[in-house]
Amino acid sequence: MRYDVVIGLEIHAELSTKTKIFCSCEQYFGGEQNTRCCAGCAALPGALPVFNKQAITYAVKAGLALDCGISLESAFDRKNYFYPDLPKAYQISQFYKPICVNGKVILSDNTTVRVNRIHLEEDAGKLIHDDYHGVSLADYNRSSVPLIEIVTEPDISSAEQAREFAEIVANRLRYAEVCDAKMEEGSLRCDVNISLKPSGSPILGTRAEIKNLNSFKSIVRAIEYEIERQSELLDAGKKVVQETRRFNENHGRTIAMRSKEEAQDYRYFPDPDIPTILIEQAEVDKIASTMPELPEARLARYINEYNLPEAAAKIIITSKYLSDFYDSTVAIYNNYSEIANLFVVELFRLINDYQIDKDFKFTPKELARLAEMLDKGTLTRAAQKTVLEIMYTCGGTPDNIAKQENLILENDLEALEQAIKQVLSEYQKAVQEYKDGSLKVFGFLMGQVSRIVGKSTSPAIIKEKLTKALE
Amino acid sequence: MQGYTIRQARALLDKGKIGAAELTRYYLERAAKLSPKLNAYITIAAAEAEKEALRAQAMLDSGNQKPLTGIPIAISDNISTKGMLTTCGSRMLYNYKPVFDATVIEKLKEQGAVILGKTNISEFCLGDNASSFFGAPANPYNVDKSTSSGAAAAVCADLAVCAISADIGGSIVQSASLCGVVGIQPTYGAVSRYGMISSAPSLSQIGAIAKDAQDCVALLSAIAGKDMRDMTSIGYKSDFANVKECNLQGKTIGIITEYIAQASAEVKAAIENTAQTFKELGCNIVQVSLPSAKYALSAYYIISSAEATSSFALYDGIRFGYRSKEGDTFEQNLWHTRGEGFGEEVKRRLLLGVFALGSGNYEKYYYKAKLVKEKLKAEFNAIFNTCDFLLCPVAAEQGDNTARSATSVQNWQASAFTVAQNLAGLPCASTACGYSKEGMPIGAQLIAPHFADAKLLACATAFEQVFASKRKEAAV
Amino acid sequence: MDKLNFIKQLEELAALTLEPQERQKYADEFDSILEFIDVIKEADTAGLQVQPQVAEYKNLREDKPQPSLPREQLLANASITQEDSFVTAKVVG
Repeated sequence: MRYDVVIGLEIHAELSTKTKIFCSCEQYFGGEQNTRCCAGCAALPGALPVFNKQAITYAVKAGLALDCGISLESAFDRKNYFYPDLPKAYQISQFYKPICVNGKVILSDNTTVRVNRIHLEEDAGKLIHDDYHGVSLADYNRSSVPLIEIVTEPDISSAEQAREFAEIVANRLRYAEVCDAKMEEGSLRCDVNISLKPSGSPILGTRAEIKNLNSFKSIVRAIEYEIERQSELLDAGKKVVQETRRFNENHGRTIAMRSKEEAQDYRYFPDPDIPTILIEQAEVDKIASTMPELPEARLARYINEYNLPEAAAKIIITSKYLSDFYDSTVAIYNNYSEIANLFVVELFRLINDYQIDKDFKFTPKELARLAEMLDKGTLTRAAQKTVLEIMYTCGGTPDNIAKQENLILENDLEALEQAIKQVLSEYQKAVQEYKDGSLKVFGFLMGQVSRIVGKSTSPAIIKEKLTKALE
Repeated sequence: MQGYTIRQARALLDKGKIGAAELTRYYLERAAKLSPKLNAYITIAAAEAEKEALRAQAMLDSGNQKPLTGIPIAISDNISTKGMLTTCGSRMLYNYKPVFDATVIEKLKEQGAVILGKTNISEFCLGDNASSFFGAPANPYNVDKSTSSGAAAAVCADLAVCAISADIGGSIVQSASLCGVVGIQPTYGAVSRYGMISSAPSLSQIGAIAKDAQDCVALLSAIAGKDMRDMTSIGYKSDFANVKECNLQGKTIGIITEYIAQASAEVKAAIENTAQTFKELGCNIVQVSLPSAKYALSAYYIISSAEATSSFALYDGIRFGYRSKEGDTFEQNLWHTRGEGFGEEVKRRLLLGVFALGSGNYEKYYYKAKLVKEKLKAEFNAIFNTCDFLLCPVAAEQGDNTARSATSVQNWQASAFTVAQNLAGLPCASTACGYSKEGMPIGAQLIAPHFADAKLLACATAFEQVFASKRKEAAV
Repeated sequence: MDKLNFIKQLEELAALTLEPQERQKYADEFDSILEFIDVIKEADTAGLQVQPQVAEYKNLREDKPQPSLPREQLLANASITQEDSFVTAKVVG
């Protein structure tokens, strides 16, 4: 039996605001437990929530980055349940009136994945299980950190599509500078809802929810496992149970959690401590105007305006820092393809080797100069590579480094002219062969000229002058 | 009224006729002596009060006093006081000492007021049925009868000059009425709720209980104001300075017929006398109708219970408060803690609340109740088009607040004349207007439009000045 | 349905355990409570909408850190602490 795979994703992203969503405690990763809490986020009696303006600004940016409509009126609701990492025993979320609705992302295979909503909510604290004493220890540093939850329609139909969607969202959130979107650090979490239905059938199957996925690869592996698991069940005439399952990294399997959660009635009601938030269209427009250009727009610009090959452009946009760096560099010296080449071939090799992909020790101006030096014949390509490596690892200007390393080509044009004259007169037979149409013999002639002038002259210049002299 | 008003104490302190320490000691001694009989205070904070009195004296000596400098004040025990026991009248918080002050406390301290201690309240201020874990406070007029608020008893028996209290369904107005003192519950949002421990955020307010309406003005001026820490707080300028001008000539006072109809003969008579007094002060008296009054109790108990399920969910024994010794798992320990820590009425509201918010019931009950809230607001607004104030009883009979009736639901009826105002967020005040056959005070309730708190107190002042000669003080 | 079971269900939702006699008391009175709140059904609320309080974006709290509570104060009221954390018994499931 062939099945259609139907997948929807719920992605939680931690917003990189300075303070928590409903109190002014600082939020950042790590640190001593229970040192970034107050009466509000640790739920002591009598505290009240005070909403963080930046959280809604960032949520709006995330919405714009995913092509959503922005709700000019959004409100907060209480989602009530008891769990020790949730100190108020309710999570403040947005059930009835989320901040963003009706967005979409178009994948590389032209599938449109619709975003049903993006809403704001607060994170819970962390529990550390002390099995020896049979207790759990609660740390509320993370309690009330702002999250957005991105909920898609079930428009995804393969593991690869799911991964691509998650990667696109992560990249756009990073570009929008609202989240650093690192699954391994927990600033981006992805839950998968997956069901199967007989091929072509209009009736959706029962879905399972998969949690605890902490890398893009896990998303793929978990979905692949689920497709197999659910197919086997359905093939055998059994039913798929609606339940929540955890993905086990080590075994590559999903395992059912207690199904108590399914019966949960969260008794949502509007939070009486928080007024409805009104934002004006003009304010949304202002936020939109501050947004950096998003990766897909840059890709289009690189391909259509700068004529970069798609593969090269895709590499440059993998991070906002690199793309910004590229844009700053070509703004100074606009040899788009040469600089792209430097990025894609040399710089990325260095990034792979040294694992540093931002806060470079050199500036766009210096990189631009390095490209210019090659074009002007001041450096050979090999020398350029050497200089870049030094710039990357130690810093310094290309001119200083090249001088220090004796890589600067003198390009003595007089001496070159002499050498060319000498070679052309000495090898008149070869010259005649060239004039008769042999291109191969050019290399021979260049070699002879190079031998005379030595390494201090740029091959590009030798070629240029020799070609001219042969005309 | 026995004892000092704020204005009298202010005059004595400013003129140096009495020192701040002396005044504070006077009240501490009275409290220590009489509170046990009345069960008015849960905590008398003698050491802190004496320290604050010294600070107040320093302000007086340097001529930097503020309106409440050196004034001994009682605080109801559901308002957070840093380092001072705050129990909400519940076993659940029997040992809880907040690590922060409520905004109103910060404001009082900033003025150099002296906090004498924390007064008894019904458990979590839930009123009828909700007996305090520390026993009910007694009414100074008759210690065999109880009142739900130790603050009202304290002010009445002069165990404090005045008090700050919290209200959800009319407890300020009800307890003030029972004790023959003045209580005001201001417009919703006038006073910051930061630090107030409450079951129902959309209905709760912090107000004042004092010996007369002028004193209430002094208290409200000190504690009202927009607070960034409370998103529901509204800054508005109530013209407290001009409250002394109490000219009621030509004002219209509406008597809510639905409430009058349910009142006992005694209470009706007292209200009619009150209306007569207002007439003599130059007011027009008219009859007005609040058609949705009959839905107010139902709406109130649905909303307050529903919000309580959420507002009380943080009581789990983990970060503070009572913790059961029973239960080996998180769930078991949680359930036992809450079953043992909460009193009967709290649990009743929680059961009702989860029911009202449950799937299938949300629209029928909770959402419907919110719509009734809107309807009541609209009806009040319509009435205020033609009236400046409204007059009605505080309760159908002058009774006491012990759960003496047969059923919970019958006890809930006691709030029939006050809950609509909480639902509508209107300011209301109670002032003594008569006495029952047994000599127990009967209160008249005055209601004003939103933000007309100062005018409300002016109206009450005008009445008080006439009624003063007819006052009977408590025996204590 | 059996009233006692009904109250038991509500207990579970409200996360509390009642003694049997308490449960019986609430079970016995629940009908009268339902009757009391059912009054609301008669209210004509056609055309009405809930009008919430509103807050404007421009007036919201700025994203500036303020000092958190010192840890000792945060933990001060807890009856049990361990390793500077709050302690709960194990969660089932």
